[in-house]
Amino acid sequence: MEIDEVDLLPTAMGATVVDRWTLSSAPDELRAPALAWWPVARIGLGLVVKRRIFKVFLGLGLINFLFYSAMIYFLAGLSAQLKGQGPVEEFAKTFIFTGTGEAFRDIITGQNIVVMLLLAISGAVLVGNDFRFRSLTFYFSKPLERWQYFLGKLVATSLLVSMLTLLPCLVLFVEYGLFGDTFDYFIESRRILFGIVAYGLLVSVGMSVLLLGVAALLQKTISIVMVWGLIFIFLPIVTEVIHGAARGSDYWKLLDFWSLLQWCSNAFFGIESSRFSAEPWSPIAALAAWLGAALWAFWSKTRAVEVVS
Amino acid sequence: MSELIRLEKLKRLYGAHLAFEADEVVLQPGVVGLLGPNGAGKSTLLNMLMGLLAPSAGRAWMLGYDAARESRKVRSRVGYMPENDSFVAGLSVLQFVSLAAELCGQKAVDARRRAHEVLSLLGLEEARYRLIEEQPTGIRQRAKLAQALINDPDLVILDEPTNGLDPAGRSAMLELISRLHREQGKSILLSSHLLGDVERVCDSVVILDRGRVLAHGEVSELTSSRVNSYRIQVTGSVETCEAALNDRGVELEALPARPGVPPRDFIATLPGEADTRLLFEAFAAVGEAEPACLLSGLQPHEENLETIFERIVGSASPPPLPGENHG
Repeated sequence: MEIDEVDLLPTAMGATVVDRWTLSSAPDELRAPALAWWPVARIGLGLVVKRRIFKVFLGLGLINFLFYSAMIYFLAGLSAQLKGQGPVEEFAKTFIFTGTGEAFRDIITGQNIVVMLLLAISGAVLVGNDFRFRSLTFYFSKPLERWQYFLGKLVATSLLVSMLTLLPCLVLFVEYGLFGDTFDYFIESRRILFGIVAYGLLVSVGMSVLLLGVAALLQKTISIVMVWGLIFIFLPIVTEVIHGAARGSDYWKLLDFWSLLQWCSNAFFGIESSRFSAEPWSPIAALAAWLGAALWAFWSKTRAVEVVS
Repeated sequence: MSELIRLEKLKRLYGAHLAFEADEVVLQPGVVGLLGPNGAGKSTLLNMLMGLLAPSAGRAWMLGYDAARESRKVRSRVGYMPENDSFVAGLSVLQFVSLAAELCGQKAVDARRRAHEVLSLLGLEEARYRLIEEQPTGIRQRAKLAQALINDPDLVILDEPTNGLDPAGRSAMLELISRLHREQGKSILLSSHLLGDVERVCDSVVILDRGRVLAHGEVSELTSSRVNSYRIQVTGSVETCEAALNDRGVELEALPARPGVPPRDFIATLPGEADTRLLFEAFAAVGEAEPACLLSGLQPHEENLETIFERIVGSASPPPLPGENHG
């Protein structure tokens, strides 16, 4: 074995191996500064996805999707076998899956419960821990703006929600269209597709913004779960009671986040509903107020962070 | 790099409270110590330099960039090691340092390669796949240093880097810091309460107290500002002794004494090329008139950073209250 004399020099001089420091310069080719939010999103998503509880909730959420997917397949087989026996086919379609806007709206709405639970336990991992463990000091000492940090967290949370709402629903839409006799369904159902995308995005982004605000304010899982329960369970019950006592004044429903999402979903899918008779601008204003309050909470908490504490 | 930091009439107020004020300060590249008790304005200054806090008046430049208007450029060329633990919980040491590289704009593959390299450089090869929040203090401190070095910064800001380290770890960390400057050519801004640490590694210092820059310059300049100084003890009438010495051009600075007791210890700075014979002559002359006046102690006065800091901050600050901790 050949030994280079140079290798022996540091040891001979009583020094350690660390004496031969080599550190190449940082790479010249850099990502566009505007994309600095992407690592924040990827790491945030990774932190949640690797948790066992996420897999449990994803599994729970996908049970619904798998059920409808199987039903669409079943209906396609049934309609092929029951050609000409309209009433049976109609019965199956009416009571199992109709392929209409209402059907897709209800699928996303049905997923909202699982989404709510998933977000309640993910809030601390995604955002709260950054405040508790002073990660913000680390983030903001890098060339990362506050809006990029927010965007990264928003994308991570929205992707998480989309995995349970928008994406399964789009898959079902495509599956339903492909099992039809012709591809006309895709052309005729553009409004449904718009409804799925718009409602899916609203649920994903809306609930994510709300979570970011709540998690930034409260930080610990137990506190987030309690406030989340207040918003999504207690408040709807209270507003329903007040709504009944106030002899049907729909303005009380503006306090109920679920009702606001429902109103928007009907608007996106073009579904007429008599459940909400308030002025059309009022749900939009109420939703904007909810999200504005959450944004303000998030912004004020991140503004309070200084790199040097 | 011509100037490391330039402050021009920089001021930051929190309401009516002055948090920081500096007329004109220019610091050259090298290892700079930032000294001052708690509440001196160190954090305010660093936040303004990083562009995270807007000055109330004046301007600051770091590495030639306007800190307020070009903060992104500043942060892309600066590495910051915070005093407190600030980790992303749930990440391994390698993931944490890679994330730092990605936040500085490096692509994922480059970031990972660079993280391996920096971790090896700092002797963290074995810890790289372990969860960062579960590591002992020494490793966490090195991981914080690693994330500060990941973007090959021109300036590394270290906030109390030896906090929580045992003597061996502290020595190793200071050696690392010295080598970063010596062998990697990094400029370093070291904020610390430990004067020994600063003296060991810093070329120059900025001394702050109650929001004001009291002194700044090279350590050698500051310590040599009092050449030909002696620590003396006198007996008899202090006023007579002082008058006799002042007549001969000797500057006297009383060292702190017990409350209500006149000071007997002084630092005497002799004029020009004069030597200790001047003191003996002065006391011989005084002794003829007042035999009780004697020079009872004489020793060369050597200034180090600790004595400079005590002198500068001590003369500018009110005496501490009993039990008050200035950290």
